[in-house]
Amino acid sequence: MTLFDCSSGRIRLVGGDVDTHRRLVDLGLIGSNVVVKARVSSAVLVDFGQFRASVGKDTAKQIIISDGVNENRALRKSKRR
Amino acid sequence: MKIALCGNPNVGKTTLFNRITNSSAPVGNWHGVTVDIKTKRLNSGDTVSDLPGAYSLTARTPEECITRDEALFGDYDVLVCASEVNNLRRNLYFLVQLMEAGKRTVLVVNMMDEAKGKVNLKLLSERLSIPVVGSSERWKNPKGEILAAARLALSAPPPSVPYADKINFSVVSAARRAGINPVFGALKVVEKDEYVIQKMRPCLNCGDICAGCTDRDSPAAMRYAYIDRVLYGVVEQKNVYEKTDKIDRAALGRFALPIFLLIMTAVFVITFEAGKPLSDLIGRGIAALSRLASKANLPDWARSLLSDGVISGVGGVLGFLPQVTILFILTAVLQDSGYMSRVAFLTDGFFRRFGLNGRAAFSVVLGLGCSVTAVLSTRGIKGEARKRAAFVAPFCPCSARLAVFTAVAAYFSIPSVAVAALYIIGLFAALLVLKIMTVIKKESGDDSLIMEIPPYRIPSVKRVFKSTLVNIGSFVGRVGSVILGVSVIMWVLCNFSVAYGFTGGIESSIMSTVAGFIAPVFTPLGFGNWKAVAALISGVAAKETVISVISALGGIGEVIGGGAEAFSFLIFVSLYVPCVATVAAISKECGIKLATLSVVIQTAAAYIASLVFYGAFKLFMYDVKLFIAVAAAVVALLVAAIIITSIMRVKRRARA
Repeated sequence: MTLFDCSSGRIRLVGGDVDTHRRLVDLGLIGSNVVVKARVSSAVLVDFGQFRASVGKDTAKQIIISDGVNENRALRKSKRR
Repeated sequence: MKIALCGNPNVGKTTLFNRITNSSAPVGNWHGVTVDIKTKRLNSGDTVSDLPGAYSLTARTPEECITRDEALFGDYDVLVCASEVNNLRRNLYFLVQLMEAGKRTVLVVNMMDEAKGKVNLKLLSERLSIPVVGSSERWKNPKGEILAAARLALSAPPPSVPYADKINFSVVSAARRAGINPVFGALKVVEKDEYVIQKMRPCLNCGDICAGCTDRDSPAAMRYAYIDRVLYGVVEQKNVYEKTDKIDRAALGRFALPIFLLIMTAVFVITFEAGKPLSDLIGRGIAALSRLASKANLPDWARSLLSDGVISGVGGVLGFLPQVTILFILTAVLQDSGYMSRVAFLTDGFFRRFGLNGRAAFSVVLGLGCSVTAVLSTRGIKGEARKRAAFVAPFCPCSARLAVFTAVAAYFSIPSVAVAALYIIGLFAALLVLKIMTVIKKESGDDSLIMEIPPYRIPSVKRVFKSTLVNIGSFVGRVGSVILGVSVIMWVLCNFSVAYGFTGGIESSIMSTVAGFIAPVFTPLGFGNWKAVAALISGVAAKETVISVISALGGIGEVIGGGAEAFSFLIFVSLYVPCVATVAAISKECGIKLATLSVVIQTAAAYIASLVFYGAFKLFMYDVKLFIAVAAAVVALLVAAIIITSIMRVKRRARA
């Protein structure tokens, strides 16, 4: 499950290109508990505990979540179809 | 002593810089306000520089590159790292890297008044082994404490991190594996010696000399483990987003966009309506002063210069100071409250369709004040999107154009809704240009949008007042310099002829000849007279001079015929070439070719938009049925184009 698909969870892995990976790791994201506060079509607003940030869709899909809760409703609908 | 202020974005570095140096550099409650280095010398001879915000010394954006280069290779004696009390864990990551690099540092913990719990700065200083100073905008000026801490840091040896000897350098381990001396191996990597690098067996996964890809995150993990040990027991953690959550439920919920549109509409309505009474009063005062000056006991030319040149010209612009002031106050409030970051988040999806991202929203809002600031703020955007944003930023009418809109609209009783439509026309033109640019060169906006969203705060009266004062000062300064200069030049061009010298009239003046030569080009737009053209030419220096020149040439009624001609004129003013300062800013950010292209495209867009409006108006007046038929045909064509585009998009998605 990725950050874009869930409502909350714990960041297990961070992918992406070298720059993106470095930026996310430098922010101390690995291992942090996250909660998705709001979403638009191209980004999610995430509470990382100490701070909040808007994360672009492609970047959010590179962030792997463990113990994820509540998948994205749209994703659930598309799986049902 | 040379000091540099550095740290994460949005922690108050520039506010600290302003307090230490008694300056007024622009600040705002959103990421990316400082995009360049400011340096000031203190009375003591020390210099203080304000560096752009950076999360890490691994730089990605242009301003982070500036900070990295200055921090690592600049000739600073001490680096003062600013941090925010409620975000210490993330902010200390930057400080720790400075300490690793052996830089003498001081930590300033800012916004202490907003701390949600107790903070033990003494313990923090002992654990980091560097001076730590607490600061807040509401406390006394920390200048003395920061300078004293910097002197203390300068007299001490550079700090080090306790995990330095535990680092398993990837080159060291790779060199040891290959049986090569680690120092020699490191130098060979620098020299890009292919043979030695091959010997050290680059990782098949990342292609780098690493000790396995999983190790590339170990430095960050090591740093954060150290930071967590340092911060343990130093800060009492509390939730700072409690009130923010409640507001965001509305601001970012189902009605987010309607709320945003409502707020922007309120900004426009308040700007136009609230400033009108005072503006009218100032206008009457200036007219009285001009009449008085015309009776002064002076030579003819001096009387004319004073009354028609200086007072009418400069006064014509100053009359709109109330509206401009209100606009500056409202945009400062929006920025300081933290709402602008939410706007960027909400509009991100919208801007991405046009090859930009949500950060462009900052430029749009800044462009309401000044196009130069809007262009400069695009430095926070990465890649091709930055050039696009800078290219179209001037399409958003600035406060100078607002002065023109307000004057002309007031004279012809054009409703404020119609004036607001000018902004929409500007936005529409910008989006059209962006779409064309996206079609020509496909490149999506910077996707890795990780933009901090700060908690809401009550806009500080002091900060809003200061920001407004700076902007008003810039506006009035422009009036006093450029506009005064242009008003005098325009008066000379309108009252002198090559053959007869001072004529005291405009009919045979230099301007009438030049503008009269160009004027027929503007006849299809409804204002093909040399006076209107002269005003537009003067607007290239500064848009406010359009009104001052019109005032000097006989007034709005004399220069612009009727309501429809006036609106056509306003459409042209809202879109045509920006002021020279903006063109210079675009040239600096995107190169002279793009700046020239921007001028050409904006002028062409202005001409076409005015032509369409005025042509439609004339057609309507000539034959209503023909107008309806043409309008229906245009709408049908647009609908057909939209349907065809949608079908093509669906087919493309199905194929993918």
